[in-house]
Amino acid sequence: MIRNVCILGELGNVVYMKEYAESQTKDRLLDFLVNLSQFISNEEFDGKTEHMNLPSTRIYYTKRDSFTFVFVADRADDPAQIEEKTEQLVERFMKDYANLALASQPLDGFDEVVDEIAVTMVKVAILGFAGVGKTTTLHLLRGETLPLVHDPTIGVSIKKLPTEVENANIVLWDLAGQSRFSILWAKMIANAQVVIIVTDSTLENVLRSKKLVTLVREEVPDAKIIGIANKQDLATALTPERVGQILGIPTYELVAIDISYRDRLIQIIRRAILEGKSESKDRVS
Amino acid sequence: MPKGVFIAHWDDFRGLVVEHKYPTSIMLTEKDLNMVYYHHEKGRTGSLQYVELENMRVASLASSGRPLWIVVFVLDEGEEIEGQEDVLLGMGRYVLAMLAQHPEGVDVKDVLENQRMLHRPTPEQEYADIFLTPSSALLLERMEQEGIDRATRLAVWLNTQVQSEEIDIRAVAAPLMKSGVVRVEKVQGAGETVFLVRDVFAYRAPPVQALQYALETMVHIAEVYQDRVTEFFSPPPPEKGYNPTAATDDPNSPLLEDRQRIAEILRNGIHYEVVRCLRERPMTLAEISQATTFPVELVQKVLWALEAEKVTTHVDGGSLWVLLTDPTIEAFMPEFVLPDVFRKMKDRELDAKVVMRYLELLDEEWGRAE
Repeated sequence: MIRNVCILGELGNVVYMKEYAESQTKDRLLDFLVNLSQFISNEEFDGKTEHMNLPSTRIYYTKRDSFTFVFVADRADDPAQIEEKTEQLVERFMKDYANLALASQPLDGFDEVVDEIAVTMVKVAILGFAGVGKTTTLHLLRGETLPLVHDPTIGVSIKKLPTEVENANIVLWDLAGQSRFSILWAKMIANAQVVIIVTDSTLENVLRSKKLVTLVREEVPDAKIIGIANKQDLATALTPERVGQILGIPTYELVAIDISYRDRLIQIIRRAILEGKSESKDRVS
Repeated sequence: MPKGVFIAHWDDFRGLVVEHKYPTSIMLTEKDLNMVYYHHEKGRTGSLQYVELENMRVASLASSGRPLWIVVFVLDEGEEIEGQEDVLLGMGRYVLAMLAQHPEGVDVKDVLENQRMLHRPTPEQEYADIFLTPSSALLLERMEQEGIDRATRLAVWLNTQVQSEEIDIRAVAAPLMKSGVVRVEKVQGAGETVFLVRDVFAYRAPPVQALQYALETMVHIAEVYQDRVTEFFSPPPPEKGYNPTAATDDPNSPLLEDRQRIAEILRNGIHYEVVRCLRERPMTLAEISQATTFPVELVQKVLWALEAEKVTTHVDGGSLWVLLTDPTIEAFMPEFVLPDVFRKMKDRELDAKVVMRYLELLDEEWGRAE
């Protein structure tokens, strides 16, 4: 996935920078990029994109006129794909934004262009206490047969959703619900665009789950949070409306063992991702 | 000896990702990796974690800070940890240092088979942590004035200085305690009390040993080498030369910046090993690589970086590398605080029992050394 996008001006000044996920610490990365821009200032690129390797990431860079364009991506990514995206971004920038940047004017709308080109992965975390049906929800989303034996998740189970949303892969993080793993929750929801809080719709569990909402709001304030009132087939289940009222987040009903809920749930996630994106645009503007 | 090793790093989108493993036949599941990660999050940074996985026993070491790397040694069946903890830690430190500086040079097979190690931090490296931990140096300055202070009073003072109530006094004091610069004890009637038992000073020393070696056995470079060192430390007037004891209160002064650089060089395991080699005598690139076991290209990069910091330079047409200045942190007895401590006792600001305990601690620390 693409982690950072950075455009530097002639003097090594930052014209644009966006961080999608942590790569190096921001200041060190910036120092490095400014040095890189000075180092390559005399290089002839002829429209080509070069790259260099860091421990777990790869830095792609190219120059066009007085601008240096830098993408930081995972080493696991296909270089040809990232180079193509770099070129797309360079074209759009040079066509519509270079003059604005030269005149030190705000680059209105460029953030959305970058998102459109650079977002290749969206993280959706599934959080909830033990036994509420998080892993069953994951299986449902992936259209998989449910295992007959309950096998508690250790740490986290990370799987891709077969469906893409706006050309981005959706990565589902099913977090272990056992209390011993609670020390990992804050770190594991980092960089999630959507967090799904799963409850078993019992009053006791829903009340306990309120602190998960607080945790998510503190750790990933920009994430879209949705609640799931699972096990609606049980007589003791609170209604989704009641669960939503208690949690203070939009909440949807679910019977995770019922395959007919799959499409509905995917649509809910898709909507949350798109809403999250438009909210982030609003924040930027 | 461990039968295998793998290295993984934490990624917010992909979880724990294995980047290297040896032998390649080691099979790992997502659960295995998660258990290793869990134990590191639960445990103490910088220490080995032992984990019984479903099909193997492992010992692992994680980097401090971000990005998080974990080096995991797969133990042989029935293999005892006792007696080989230092080796595992040393190999783990070596790999983590390589990952930070020269990731393309990491050869896990070579590390395992030849037991490549970085040794445990020396006292001067532990002192360096004081200058690299936010607010620790500030706390040291306070202790240099007070000699003795109550832990609670120090915490309040520090909160006022940094204008934050969220500061973790334990984290700030940790490098001072770990390096033995302060001792914290409960003294009857005075509560938890902090004593300054060592003071530390970071500076660039002239590379005396290496220069002496050159004068005695490498006559062809001795004069040039000596001239370079003299030019740095005592150039002809009107240049002032190097004076680390010049008084300064300005936090942006070049001397305080230089102290930070000295600490960074000493704390960087790879840079430190190269400096240690050159403290003894001038060496060629190949000799340094052999002595440190680091790849030649890495040593070259380090030497250039140290040259930019005026720590190394090259002579003899570039074939020999020498130490121009020796980054050093030394500890000494803080006897200068004693008159103030006695005055405070006289003015009843300090309890006699506390002062007596301070003198005992200083005697334990320095009396025995002498």
